[in-house]
Amino acid sequence: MRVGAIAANTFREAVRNKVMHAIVGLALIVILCSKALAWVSAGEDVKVMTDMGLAAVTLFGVLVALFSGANLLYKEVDNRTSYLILSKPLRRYEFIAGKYLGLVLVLLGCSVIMSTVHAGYLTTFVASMEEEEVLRGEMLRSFYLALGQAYFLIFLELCVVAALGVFFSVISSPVFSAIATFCTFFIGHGLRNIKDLTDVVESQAGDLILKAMYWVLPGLFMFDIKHYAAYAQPRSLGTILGCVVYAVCYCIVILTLTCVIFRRRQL
Amino acid sequence: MRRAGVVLLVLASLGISLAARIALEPEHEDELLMDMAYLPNGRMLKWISGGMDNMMSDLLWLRSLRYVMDHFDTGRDYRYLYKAYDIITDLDPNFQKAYRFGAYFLSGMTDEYENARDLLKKGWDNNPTNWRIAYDLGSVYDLHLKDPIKAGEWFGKAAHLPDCPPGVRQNATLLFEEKGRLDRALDMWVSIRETTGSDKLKKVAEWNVKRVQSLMIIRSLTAYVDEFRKIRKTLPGSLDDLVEARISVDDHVLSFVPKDAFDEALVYTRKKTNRGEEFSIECRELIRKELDKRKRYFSNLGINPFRRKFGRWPKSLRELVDKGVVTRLPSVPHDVEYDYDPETGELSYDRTLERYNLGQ
Repeated sequence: MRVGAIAANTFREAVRNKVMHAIVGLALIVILCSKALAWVSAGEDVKVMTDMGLAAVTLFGVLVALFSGANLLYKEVDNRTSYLILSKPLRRYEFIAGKYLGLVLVLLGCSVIMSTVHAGYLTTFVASMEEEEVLRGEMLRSFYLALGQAYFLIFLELCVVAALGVFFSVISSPVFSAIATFCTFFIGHGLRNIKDLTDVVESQAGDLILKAMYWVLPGLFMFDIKHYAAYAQPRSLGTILGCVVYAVCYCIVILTLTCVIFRRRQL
Repeated sequence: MRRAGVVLLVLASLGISLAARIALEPEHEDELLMDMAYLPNGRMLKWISGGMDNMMSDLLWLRSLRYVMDHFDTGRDYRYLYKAYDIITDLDPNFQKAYRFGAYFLSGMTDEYENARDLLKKGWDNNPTNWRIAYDLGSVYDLHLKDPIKAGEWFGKAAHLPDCPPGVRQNATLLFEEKGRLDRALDMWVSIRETTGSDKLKKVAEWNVKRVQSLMIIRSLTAYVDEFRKIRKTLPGSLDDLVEARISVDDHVLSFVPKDAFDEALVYTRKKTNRGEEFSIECRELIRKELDKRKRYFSNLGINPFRRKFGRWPKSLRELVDKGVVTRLPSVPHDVEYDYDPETGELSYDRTLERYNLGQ
């Protein structure tokens, strides 16, 4: 109940934020402009529109997570509103959980808006195409299924990024938090290459560090099925469930760490 | 006065900036080339793309199209084309059109046939169920690298994949036949017969299996006749002479004269020419097919148009040339004598059929 109240308040606060509107608005403009690129793509219209749209949903979603996550606790502490809240019968972990859930609600809202506009735009475009050109029947169903999966996994990825954002915001300033989260986002996508490096590195210590990085840092590449969506290749239910389990567990670990640090912090 | 000065200053600045922009325009034309030159390695780009590799490959794809178009009229400096498509396909290994267009541009505009081949091979490694890539690879081998056997192999690979139209398989078989690889052609026709869902195509494939098998028998018998001529300094009177003479080819003695795959005796003919005595071994079914084809040719392009023009049948086939309906009478195999009926305009090859005992 108390967690719900904080989550609802965080959500309301974020929704009123004009920067958030600007980010979502920009994302929608990019999605709608993808058709202009599709026109000059020599017959790869659907692929280009799908790729651009999914990339926009991811990038702007990450921006929302960074912007909101980085400021989430800092503002409360800086404005001293946290004193007021924490003086109530509320535990610090409930405060963190509420804040995080509010942020997840914001991300859900943004993802739903961006995904709906993108999917609707794609549907209109596909419906206007010539009969023999692309995507009909079973292929079309596969395409939409893969697209839906991609949206869902992007949302999960954003939840993990938001958890990292909250974690960094507890231990540092908003600017450092945003930079650290953004770097972790990129490293999380390139982790597969780090694993490849372990075969090349000769030093045992180096190998150990790389392996530790591979297993400790968030494996965000797991959530990246945009490629499959563009080629109408839905992933198996097992893969999707695996991603859900991984995201939930990773977020629990990160948020627990956040709570531990926040509990020890002198406000 | 002061306002006019400000307007003048703004206009002058605008004019100068525009002039500078125009003056520097040629430098910008090279910009695209330099962009391509400084493209980093595809694997590295993938690493730093943060999961946006597909979007990056799309953007590079659009850039590459502009690169091709911009340089089309101006010197065609495409030295970075292969690099661009290599990177695009590193970023998106399933980008079918990048492989195909890339190979097309490389082979058609820059004569970089080996690069076109390498790009398509990479495409095949990443998309081993895509018949179009295999087909394009076959085309590069056939048209540019002049290696019809490799071309046939790639056409063959394409032909075995689902969704591949039957025409591709037939192309492959013809290519193999042209290069004397009858065994491969036979494999292809058998595969078409076994895998097609169309009854019509199955019949065509069945007929072609027999045709290629007959050609293989003829090729083998030709080797015996050549061997006979080498030893006896003359041609055999009939194919049975090969059995009687116990001619051996590759340590194999002919014990009987085989029939063709249509279960008919082969036609063996000898003919005196300027180069000496020549022979031919042929399959009756194929002769019949050929004669039917010629008959249709005469009727459709000569006799029927003559009747439409003059309102009567020609008195003889020669009249088709005399009246300018056809420029010349086409050559006809096997010294066919036309049996033409000027009353009905009907053509037949009965006497020829009789001579070869071909039957109707």
